[in-house]
Amino acid sequence: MPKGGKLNDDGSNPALNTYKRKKYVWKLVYIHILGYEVDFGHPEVLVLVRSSKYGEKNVGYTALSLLMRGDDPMMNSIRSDIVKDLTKPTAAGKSSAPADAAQALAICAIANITGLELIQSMHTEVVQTMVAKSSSANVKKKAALCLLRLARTNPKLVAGRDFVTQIAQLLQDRHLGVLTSSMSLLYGLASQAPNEYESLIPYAVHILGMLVLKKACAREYLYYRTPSPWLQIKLLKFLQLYPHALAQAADSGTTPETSPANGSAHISQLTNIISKILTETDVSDSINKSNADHAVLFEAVNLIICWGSTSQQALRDGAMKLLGKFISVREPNIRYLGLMTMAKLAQLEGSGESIKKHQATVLVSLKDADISVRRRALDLLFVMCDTDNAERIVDELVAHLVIADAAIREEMVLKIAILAEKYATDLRWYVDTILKLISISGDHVSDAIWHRVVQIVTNHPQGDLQAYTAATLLVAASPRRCHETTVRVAAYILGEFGFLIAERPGMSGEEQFRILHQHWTTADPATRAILVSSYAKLANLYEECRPLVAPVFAKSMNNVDVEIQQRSAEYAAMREAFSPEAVEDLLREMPPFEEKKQSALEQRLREKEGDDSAAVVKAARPSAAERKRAAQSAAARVAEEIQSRPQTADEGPASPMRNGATGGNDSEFDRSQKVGIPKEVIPAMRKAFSNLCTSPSGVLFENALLQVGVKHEYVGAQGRISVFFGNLSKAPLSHFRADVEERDHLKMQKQGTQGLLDSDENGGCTVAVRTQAKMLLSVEVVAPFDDAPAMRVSFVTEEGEYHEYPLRLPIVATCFMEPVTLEAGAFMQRWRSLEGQDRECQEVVKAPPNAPEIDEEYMDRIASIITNGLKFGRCIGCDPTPWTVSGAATFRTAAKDMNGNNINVGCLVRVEANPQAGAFRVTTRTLHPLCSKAVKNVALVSIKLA
Amino acid sequence: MIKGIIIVNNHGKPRLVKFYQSVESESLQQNVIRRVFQQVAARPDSFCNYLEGAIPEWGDNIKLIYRHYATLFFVFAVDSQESDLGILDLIQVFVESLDRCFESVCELDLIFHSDRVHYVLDEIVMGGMVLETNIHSVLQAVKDQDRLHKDSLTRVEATESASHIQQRLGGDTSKWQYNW
Repeated sequence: MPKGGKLNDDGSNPALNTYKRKKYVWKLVYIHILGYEVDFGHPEVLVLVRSSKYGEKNVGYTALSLLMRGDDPMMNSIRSDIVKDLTKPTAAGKSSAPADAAQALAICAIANITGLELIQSMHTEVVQTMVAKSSSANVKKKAALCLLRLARTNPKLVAGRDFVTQIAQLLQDRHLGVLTSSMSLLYGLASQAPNEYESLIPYAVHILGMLVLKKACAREYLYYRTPSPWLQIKLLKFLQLYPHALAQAADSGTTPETSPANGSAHISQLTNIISKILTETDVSDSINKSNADHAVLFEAVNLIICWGSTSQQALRDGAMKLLGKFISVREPNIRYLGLMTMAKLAQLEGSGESIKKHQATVLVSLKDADISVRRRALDLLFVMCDTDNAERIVDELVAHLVIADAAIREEMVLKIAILAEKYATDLRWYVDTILKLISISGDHVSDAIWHRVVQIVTNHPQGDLQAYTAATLLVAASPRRCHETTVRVAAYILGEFGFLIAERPGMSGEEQFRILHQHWTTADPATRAILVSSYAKLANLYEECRPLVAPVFAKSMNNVDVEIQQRSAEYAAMREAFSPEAVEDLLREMPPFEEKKQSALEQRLREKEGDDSAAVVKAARPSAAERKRAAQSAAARVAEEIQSRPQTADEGPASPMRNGATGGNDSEFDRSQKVGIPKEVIPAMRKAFSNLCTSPSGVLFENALLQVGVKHEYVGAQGRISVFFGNLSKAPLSHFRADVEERDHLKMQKQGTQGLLDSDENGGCTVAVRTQAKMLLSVEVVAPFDDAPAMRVSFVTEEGEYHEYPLRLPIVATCFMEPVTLEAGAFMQRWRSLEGQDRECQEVVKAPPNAPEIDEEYMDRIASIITNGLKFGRCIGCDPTPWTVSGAATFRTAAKDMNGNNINVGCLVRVEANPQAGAFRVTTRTLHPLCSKAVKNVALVSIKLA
Repeated sequence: MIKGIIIVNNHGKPRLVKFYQSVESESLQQNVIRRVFQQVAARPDSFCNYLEGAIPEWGDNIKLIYRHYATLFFVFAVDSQESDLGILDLIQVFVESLDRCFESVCELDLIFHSDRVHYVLDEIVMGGMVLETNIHSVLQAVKDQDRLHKDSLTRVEATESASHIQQRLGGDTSKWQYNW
């Protein structure tokens, strides 16, 4: 930069004259704009600012705001000069042109320079200037904006201060420039605290009326014959801050004390104005004229959207019609804004149907050459998607993804993934869609997306989703070349659910390993780490895979990547280090994932688009398909939890879903302070439940307030269960209710103390001190099941505490067993015939820590559990060693088959003890998978208690 | 609010840069300008005048609203509080004001009279907010400034010449005294 040197020389000369100094500073500014660092010459700028000559001062201030930041140390030295300029005319009480101009310059500089210190120290002066009578219009409007700037940088400074009267005064100014600035200020302040400025609505409506209805506007403020569009925009934007204005006006019209005439008058005027803007905006040849008109029009439409259903139907229809027109015009700006506004409109209730009519038009815009338009079209498609049109829209988007350019792909992939998840009526379609995404645009499928697939598949064990996904992914990973992400998902899913398809031709464990392993050499470290884990799971399940996997582990133990090295070393050493059961436990399939309120994908969308984007609002709202799925999996989870509770130690007393689902909102007591089951009674409760599963009567639950006792007896498929609720406290328990969950597999008839079975929150009976409420259930089982019905007991104590205990009734599958005694030969024949994936259940359980050594006596106890507790017939003679107990039973149901006979399920059980390890292996084989699982669970629990 | 205004020519040379929300350093500022130019220049005139895309230095959700006149791009970077079409109109007002100020404005005017361009802009946008949209009053304000400017300078020159003489005399005497 040759000039720099010369400038530098010049700058060091103190005796510069006015012209040279100005020239010098302007050169600095220009050099700065061109992108060179200017760290010299700043003192000259200060000299100019301090100058008494307006010509120099002006240059000084302009350069100051361009070259320096608020936090520049040099700012300190200039602060007092700025204050002097700011206060001089106000202090003198009279204004002269140069002083006014200097004041304007100072205000301008304060507003333009970012940096809190300067602005903070001057706010009082600025406010004084704004409201001073002596200030000229030019100064007033600058002061108003300066104050707004201040409010934006530091809301605390203006918060809680009453500007309403001052702004009201400004709003009565006749000068449109002052009005525009004051409206900017008002809009800025009101968007921080809308309530404080609500009283100013009539002023805004009045000004808007003057501009729109009377076209009263100074000639020079007409912009292409439109009366000051900016002021109109500001007014409309301000009104958008009050979405309930219409509804409130309607309310206040009916109450006499709030000056109804005034209240509704300005609102009805406002409605007139808006409808006039809607109807009288015509297409103009001049692009600038049409721009200005449409700017106002779009804000009017935004206002209608804000009002939502409180506005007149005609207005909304009008807005809809206009937007429909806009999104099909050629003018790109209008089309862009039309798409954007329609996406906002789509959030209104009941707008869905009319928007769907435009689906084809929007799809055309999705193929526009302009990325801004495409983005808006994508956004609108995303928002208008619902269960009906989801498949079509998603398919269109996927088809378009093929030709979409890189700039928009990532966004598209994210949105498609969210839509597919949200609106999938069949989750297999969702899995297919994500696979398509990976194959078309794998690089843009973030980890969050495929993690989500894994979560969803894991959390939905119903139907054949898991098997389907495993099979599909196996096929997808079969080609030698496929995307890294495909390999990752396939590796994970096959590791978890590969066993579900291992029986199918060409999908055996060995085959699964081969298909995954062909990608080993090309996979990156992260993928290899997943592969290693999957190999370990495969090797665990299939003997034949072990020799294939071992060399891979051996080699990977020296891998440079620490993660792979650690995993393979651990998996390889695992078999020697732990017992087979522990290994089994380690490599068991993953438990379901915790359902978070917001998925990672939605979070990402929010990061990208900000909180107020229409798409984010849309994504956060659950769809019908989602709710249905959530309900299904919640039911499944409750069942799961009920069954598994005796086995897991640190689980909360109730599933969060159930609490959420039962929460009412019109109850008289504070349900937020709900008291649940105290943590410390949970272990005892579990034990009580397990006991009751195998004994005819006992206590199910007990704490200081309440004791719940159960007595149950069964004949074939039928059972009678009596439940007693005893009040142990020193005061009556009111609103006492017991709510037993009804399930398809159990037909149930309930009787009980008056009010006990009320479903209403405020109903229920009162249980006096030392008395009992009773409930009698007659049940009939119609289908196999593997859980226990839930019962929710709730009551209110005298202190007003609301208690709610989620319990379960010990009505388990084994209650309905009828013992069968089989000959050894017959037993073994049936045992072998029931071999197979879903007929067999097996689990290993340790004997309780304080139990004696496993001996003959212990085995007798086990045998009595099987015969008395589980109601199985002991099959003596088919046990090869004394360490085995075998039994058979029939599960009776009341359901009839085609010939009118009751449907029964034959069940076999075998408990094998390992005295050395102090463990038992329980194997059940039945004709029905649920039966196998149920019998196994009860057997495990009982053995643990033995 | 308007986060920044950039006028840049077809070759990417900035002609006016005004950041209302300053960025951390000079090099970052140049970075922003370069990126803005690259994005805007890649779009044919038939496209719409809006470009979404975050400028991280100014935060997310920044929209570029620009107009292309002959050799210059006028780019306004705004946040979601501004009206999209309103800003387009504002650019038009700015350009028309420049046009009347310079009598058919061209790129060279922006180079050689960059002071006047700044004065005009300061009358339209202040601290990232719309100050005045009436071309007449914008020009009037600039004209008033010019007059003040001239007044102050002629007055100053008169006083300056007077003080010059005084100074010279004073200087001489002091020197004289000092020498003694």
